Amino acid sequence: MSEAPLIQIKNVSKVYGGSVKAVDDVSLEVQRGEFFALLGPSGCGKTTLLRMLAGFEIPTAGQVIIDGHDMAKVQPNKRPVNMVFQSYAVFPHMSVEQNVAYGLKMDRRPSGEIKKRVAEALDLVKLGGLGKRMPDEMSGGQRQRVALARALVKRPSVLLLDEPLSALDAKLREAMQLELVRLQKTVGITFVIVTHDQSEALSMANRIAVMNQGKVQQVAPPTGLYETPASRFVADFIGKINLIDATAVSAGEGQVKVTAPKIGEVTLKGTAVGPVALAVRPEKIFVDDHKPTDPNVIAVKGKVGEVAYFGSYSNVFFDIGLGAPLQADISNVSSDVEEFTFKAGEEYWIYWRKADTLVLGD
Amino acid sequence: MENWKNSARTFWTVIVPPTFWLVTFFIIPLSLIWLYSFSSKTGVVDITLDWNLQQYMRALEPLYLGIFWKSIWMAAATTAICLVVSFPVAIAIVFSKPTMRMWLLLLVILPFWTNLLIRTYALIAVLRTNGFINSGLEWIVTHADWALSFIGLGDNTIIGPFTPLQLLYNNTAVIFGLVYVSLPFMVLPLYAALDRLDRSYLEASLDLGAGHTRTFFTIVVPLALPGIASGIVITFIPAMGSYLTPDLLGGTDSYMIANVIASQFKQANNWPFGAALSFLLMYATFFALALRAVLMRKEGRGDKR
Repeated sequence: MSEAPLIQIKNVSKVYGGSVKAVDDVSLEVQRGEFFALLGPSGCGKTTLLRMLAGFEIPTAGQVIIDGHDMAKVQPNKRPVNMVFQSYAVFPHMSVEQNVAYGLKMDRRPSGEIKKRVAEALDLVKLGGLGKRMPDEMSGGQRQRVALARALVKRPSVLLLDEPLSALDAKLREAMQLELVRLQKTVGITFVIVTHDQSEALSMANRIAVMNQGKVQQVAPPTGLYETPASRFVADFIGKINLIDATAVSAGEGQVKVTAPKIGEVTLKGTAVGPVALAVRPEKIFVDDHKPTDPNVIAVKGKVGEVAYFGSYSNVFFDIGLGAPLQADISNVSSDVEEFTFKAGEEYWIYWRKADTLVLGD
Repeated sequence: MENWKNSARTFWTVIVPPTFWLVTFFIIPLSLIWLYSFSSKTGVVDITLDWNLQQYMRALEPLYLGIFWKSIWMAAATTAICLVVSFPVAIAIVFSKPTMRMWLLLLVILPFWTNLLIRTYALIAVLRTNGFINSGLEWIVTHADWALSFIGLGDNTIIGPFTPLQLLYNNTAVIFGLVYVSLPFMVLPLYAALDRLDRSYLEASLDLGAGHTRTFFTIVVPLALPGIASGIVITFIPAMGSYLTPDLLGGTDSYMIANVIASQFKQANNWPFGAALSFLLMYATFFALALRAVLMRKEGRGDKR
């Protein structure tokens, strides 16, 4: 894979009104054929970045290169990208067919070809036979498929999707997630999706860029983001995690000596020094009546606080004498209710492997 | 909604005053005029209701049909010019910054707050022989001539002498005045329609490869059609019945139907004939409104979103 990246975003910034930095010095690369997600809380600049790829926003600084061409002076209608809008923006005065054919007509394709490609695109999104319908006769999910077909029929280099699933109900959303992955594999087009929903990003994308306050925090595959988050923000944003404030000094060879209240001094893998957070995922925590003897674990004593039962597991909060409680997801491996029931006030030893402990800088 | 019978007193309190108002000051006078249109003039002030159609017959004579036609034509020209001028204005307002938008809208509405008569006389001051336009042009011509005299081309060899343009008292002046008066009626409905338009439709069109011109004609115009139709109707109808503008700005051949009606009621003292002409104008208006309703029903599908 020595091929050049399909999308190169180089030091791109977008400043509004002279001071508000929506996007702050972002550099990213998206490979050909990837399903790439821009993930972040609302207002983090992910949509602005996507709109800069589409050409609706002009970067204040930096360069956007798509397919080897600098996009600085290229109008939206001349870019090799197509977009699925959050509101779908299916033209209400045109039938489904006319909507899908619109882009091809603008390209002045011969009518025979348009007809064939429109039919193909509608089949692809499973709307075959509904071409004559008007948009107001369709459900939200169907309208989204029209928007997808309308964009895909142009065979763009990149398909941009702006929060495509946010307007759908939970069940339809899950079905569409699988559907989008299937579509992307079928057509082989690079997808760039914007979402604030981490499960959406984790389940669909090959790689995810987590953004916050206009900056990219980390770019990694889903597993990388979850298991080895680069910062406190990413760890906290993706899934549930316990964060314990601590201080770290370098111990050489990729290790740090961390001092934390209640835990004491431990040497862990990591590079962050100064004020750090010790982080451990709730499902990686074990609970026992006795103090574990294994030297490769970190153990603290804790009192059971709130318990939330989720069927296959329980989310248990332990008070370990720090400000914030420690949460553990305990699998309910036995059907004997008495055995796994945690009662408030009971004391346990809570422990987790040192290898599962992350040392995170800010 | 509660049944009105349950609160009869409230119902009657609310319904009686406006009904009284409408009946006394609108329906009764209008009915009287309508009856006049079927009457004959039997003396200087005597009118006899004899249910004849001779007033209408006379109103359909070529002379008056010509004036009707001229009114329609002038109003149509006014509406067309207003539409062409208003679209860019409305687009500019919609796409301006929110703070700016308020001021631009105010500028459009501002003329409403001035009396039509004053505005029309102001227009006369601009257009008349020694008005602002002609004296401005004269200044330019004489100074250009003076500048050219330095290279030996002065003394009106190339340009001048200046002859004032005849800008008043013709059909062009009337249409100009009508456009000036009607412009807000076109800008405001267009603005409302464009403001409702979801921007993502425009972006989607651009994204799919359409240029700005094609986006305008294939997306903006069809989606703004209800606003366009409203603008056309509320510009065309008052323009068609305008009286003051052709009276003050027009020449001897710029008579529009309202001027004829006024002269029938006043100078000619022929109320029955004036009434018949008035009602013909009203029938035409109703026809225009009905036509719009039919057209809107056809486009209704695109209207609701």
